[in-house]
Amino acid sequence: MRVIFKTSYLQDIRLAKHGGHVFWYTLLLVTAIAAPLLVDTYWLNEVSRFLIFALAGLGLMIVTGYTGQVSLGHAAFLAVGAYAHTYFISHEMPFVISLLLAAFTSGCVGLVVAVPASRMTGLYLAIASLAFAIIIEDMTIHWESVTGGNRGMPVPPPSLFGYEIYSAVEFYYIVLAGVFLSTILVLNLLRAPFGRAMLAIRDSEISASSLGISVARTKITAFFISACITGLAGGLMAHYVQYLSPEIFGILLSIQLLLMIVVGGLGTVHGAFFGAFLVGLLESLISISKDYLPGAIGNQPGLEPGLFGLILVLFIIFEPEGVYGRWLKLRNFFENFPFYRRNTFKRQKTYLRTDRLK
Amino acid sequence: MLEIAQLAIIGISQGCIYGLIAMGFVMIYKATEMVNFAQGDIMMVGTFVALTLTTMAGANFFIAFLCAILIMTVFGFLVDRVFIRKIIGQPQFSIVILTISLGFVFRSGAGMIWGQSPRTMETPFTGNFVLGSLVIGNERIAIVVGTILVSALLWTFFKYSRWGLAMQAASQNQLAAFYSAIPVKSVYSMVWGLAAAISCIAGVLLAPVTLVSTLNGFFGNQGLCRCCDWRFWVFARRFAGRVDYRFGRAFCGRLLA
Amino acid sequence: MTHLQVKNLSVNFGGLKALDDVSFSVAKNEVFSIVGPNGAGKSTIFNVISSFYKPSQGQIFFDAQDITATKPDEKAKLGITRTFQNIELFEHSSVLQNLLIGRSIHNRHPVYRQFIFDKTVRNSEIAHREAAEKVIDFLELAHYRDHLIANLPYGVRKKVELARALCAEPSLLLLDEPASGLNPEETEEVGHWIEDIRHDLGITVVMIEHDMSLVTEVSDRVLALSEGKVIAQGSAEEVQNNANVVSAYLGSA
Repeated sequence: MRVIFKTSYLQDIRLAKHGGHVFWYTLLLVTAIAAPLLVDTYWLNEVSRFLIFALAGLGLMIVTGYTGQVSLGHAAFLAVGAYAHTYFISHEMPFVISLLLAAFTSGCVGLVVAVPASRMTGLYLAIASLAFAIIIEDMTIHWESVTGGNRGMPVPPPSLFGYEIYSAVEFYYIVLAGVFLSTILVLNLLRAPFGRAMLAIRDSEISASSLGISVARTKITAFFISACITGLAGGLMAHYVQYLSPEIFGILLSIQLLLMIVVGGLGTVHGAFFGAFLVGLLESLISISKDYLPGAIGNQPGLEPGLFGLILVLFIIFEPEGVYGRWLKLRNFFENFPFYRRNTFKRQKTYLRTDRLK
Repeated sequence: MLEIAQLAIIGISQGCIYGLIAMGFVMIYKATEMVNFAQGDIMMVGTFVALTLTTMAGANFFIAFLCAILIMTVFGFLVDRVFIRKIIGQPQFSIVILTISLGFVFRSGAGMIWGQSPRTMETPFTGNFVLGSLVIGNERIAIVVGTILVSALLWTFFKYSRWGLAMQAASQNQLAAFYSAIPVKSVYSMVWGLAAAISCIAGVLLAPVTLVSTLNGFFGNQGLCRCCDWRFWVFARRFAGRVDYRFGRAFCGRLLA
Repeated sequence: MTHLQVKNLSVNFGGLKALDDVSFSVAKNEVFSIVGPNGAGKSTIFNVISSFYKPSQGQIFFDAQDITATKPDEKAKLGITRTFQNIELFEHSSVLQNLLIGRSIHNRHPVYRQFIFDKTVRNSEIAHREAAEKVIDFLELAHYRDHLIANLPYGVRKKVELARALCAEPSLLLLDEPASGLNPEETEEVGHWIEDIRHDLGITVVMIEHDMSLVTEVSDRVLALSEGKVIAQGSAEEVQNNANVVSAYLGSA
C-alpha cells in the first residue's frame, strides 16, 4: 500500500498526485504518440475512432456523470459539431478555427436545451434532450442547403496551413492533440471550484444552493461545456466517417454514449475512456457474433439497442460505478489484503430519496 | 358545423388515449417518484400480447383482452420486483437510465418475438357509427368509452378499495405508510402492475387507429411529454387539459389546411 | 444591534397554516434558539429564511436589508449559511471536498480561467485549502479529512455539515437540530462548539433544537413555537416555565 506524506497543499492540487501517476501517465502518452510505429493503418484508424468516442463520452460525462443530469440526446451535439464543421471548412474556413467554431456552435445549440430545462429538475432535461435530438435529426434531413438532406454531404479532408491531410497517421495526431488538450482542460476544471460546484449539484441541490452555488447557472454552464466538447468530437468524427448522413446520428448513438459512460464509470474521467474502449469492443463482438447467432436473433435491426439496453440495466443495478469503480475496488482489495473491509464500498441502504421538500 | 363536430370527436378520442397513457406515468410518478421511460414500450408489449392471444389462440376478443390485461399486470409487477426494486433510493438519473434501457430491451425483445413489420389487429371496433350525416369510426367511440370506464374504475379503486387507499397513503408519505403497517414494497409493485395494465388497455384501444408495431412505444413517450405537468393528478382536470389540447390540435390542423 | 429580523411571517401550505404571524429578532453575536413540539413549523422558518419556501405574508430583514425574496444562493453570499435536519452532505466526495464546496462563495474566478488553472486560480485554491484546514482544526476533523462521507458515522457527518457551513465564513449560522441523534457526550461537545463559534468566530447562531439541556446551556434567548404560532419568548428559564409552553408539550390539564 502506498502511503503518501503530504508536505504541501499543492500535492493535493496537482494533477499527478504522486510519482506513480507521473510515471504511468507519461508512459501512456508516449505510447500514444508512438502508436503509428506500433500498429498498422487499420488499427490506427480504430484508435482514432476510440479517441473520438472517448471525447464525446467526456462531454456527456460532464453533464451526466458530474452534474447528475441525464441527457438522452447527446448524439445531436455530435451531429451539430460534425455538420457545422463540414459546412465551415467547405466554405474555406481554416481547419482549426472551423473546428473551434463548430464546438462553440454546438455549445450555443446546447444552451437552447439547457436554459429552459435548468429551471426544472433533471427529469425534464432528460425529456427535453430526447425531444431535442429528434428535432436535430429532422433538421439534418430537411435543411438541405446546409446538410445535404438525406443524400448527406462529403467531408473535405482537413488541411493545416495549406497542407491537405489524407493519411491516417496525421489524422491520428490531430485527434490525439484534440483529445489530450480537452482532457487536460476538463481535469483542470474538475479540480477548480466550478468542478466542485457540479459535484455539489449532483449530490444535493438544496445543499449546494444554500452554500451559495447558483444551481441554474452551474447547470447551464456545465451543459454548454459538455455540448462544446461533444461538438468538438463531432467535428473530428466528420473526418473519420468522411461522409455525413442523418442516420449516423440517431437515438442509438445517444444510447451508445450513455452506455459508454455508465459502463466506464459515472463521475470519473477514466470512465469515459474505459467506456469508449469497452463499447468499441462490444460493437465488434456483436458484429462478429451476428454470423453465429440464429437468424431470428442475429439479423434483428433491434439487436444492438437491445443488447446496449440490457448491459445498461445490468450495470445500473449491479455495478453503478462502472468498470473503473470495479477496478478501484479490486485495487483496494489487493493493497489492503488481508484487511479489506467488505463494506468499504457498500451502497448505503437508502429508501426514497425525495426531491419534494417536506 | 358537421366538420367541427367530427373533428371534436376525433380530438377528444386522441386526447383520451394520451390521457390513458399519461395515467400510467403519473401513477408511477406520484407513488414512487420515478419516471418510467419504459411506459410506452410496456404498452407496446401489452398490445402484442393481446394480438397474440386473439390471433394465435383464436380466443374471443374480449376474453383475450382481459387475459392480456392480467398478463400485463403480472408483467408490470415483475418489472418492479426484478429491476426497479434494486435501485430504490439511488439518484434520479439511475432510474432514468434504467427505465429507458428497459424500454430498449422490451422493444428489441418484442422485435425478436413478433417481428419488426407492423401488424393489424382484429377488433370488434370496426365500421362506423352514423348519426344523420355525422360519421364516426367505432374505434374512436371505443376509445372514449374505454377511457371513461377505466377512469371510473380507477376512481372507485382509489376511493374505496384497501389497496387503492394504501397506494395513496404510500404516495403521500412513505415512512408514515410503512409505520401504519402498509406493505409499501408490495404496494409499489402493485402500482407498477396497475400502470402496466392501464397502458395495455391504452395500447389495445389504440391498435385499430395505428397499427401494432414495435415502434408504438414512441407514441407512449409522446404521452410522457404531454404529462410533464404533474398537476393533473385529479382525473377530471387531467382530461380537461388533454382533451382541450388534442381537440385544439386536430382542429387547428384541419382549419389551417 | 439587530442582525436578523423576522416580521409577521406567515406560510400557508394549501389550507394548512404552517406559520402564523411569527415575529422575532436576533441581535448580533447572539445565540437564539427555537423550540417547539414536532410539526410546530420550526424548520419552516429556516426554509423561509433560506428561500426554499415563499412566505404568504411578512418580511425578513438581514442587517436592515429586506431579503424576503432573495434567491437561496444569494443568501449565502450575504453571509447566511445553514445545516439541515436530515444531513445534506455531498455523499460521494471526501470531507475535504465538502469543506471546499463550502468555500464556493469566495470564488471569484470566471470559468475560463478555471479551465486554464493559471497561477491566480492555483493560489486561491491554496488559500481555500488553508481556510478549510482552519475549520478542520477548529472542529477536530483532521482524522477524517480524506474519508468519503458515505463511510462516516452519523455523529461525524453532523460535524462535517457544521464545518462545511463554517467554511463559508458566515455572519449568521442557522443550525437545524444540531444535536439530534447524538449521544449525551456528543451533545455536550456540540454545546462547546456553539460557544466557540460565537466567541472565537463572532458568528450569530440561530438554532432549532429539542434537547433542552443544550438549549439552556448555550442560548441567550429562546422562542417557543406551537402550531405555527409564537407562544413564548425570553430566556430559557422563562420559556420553560411558561404556562403555554408546558401545555403545548404536555397537553393542557
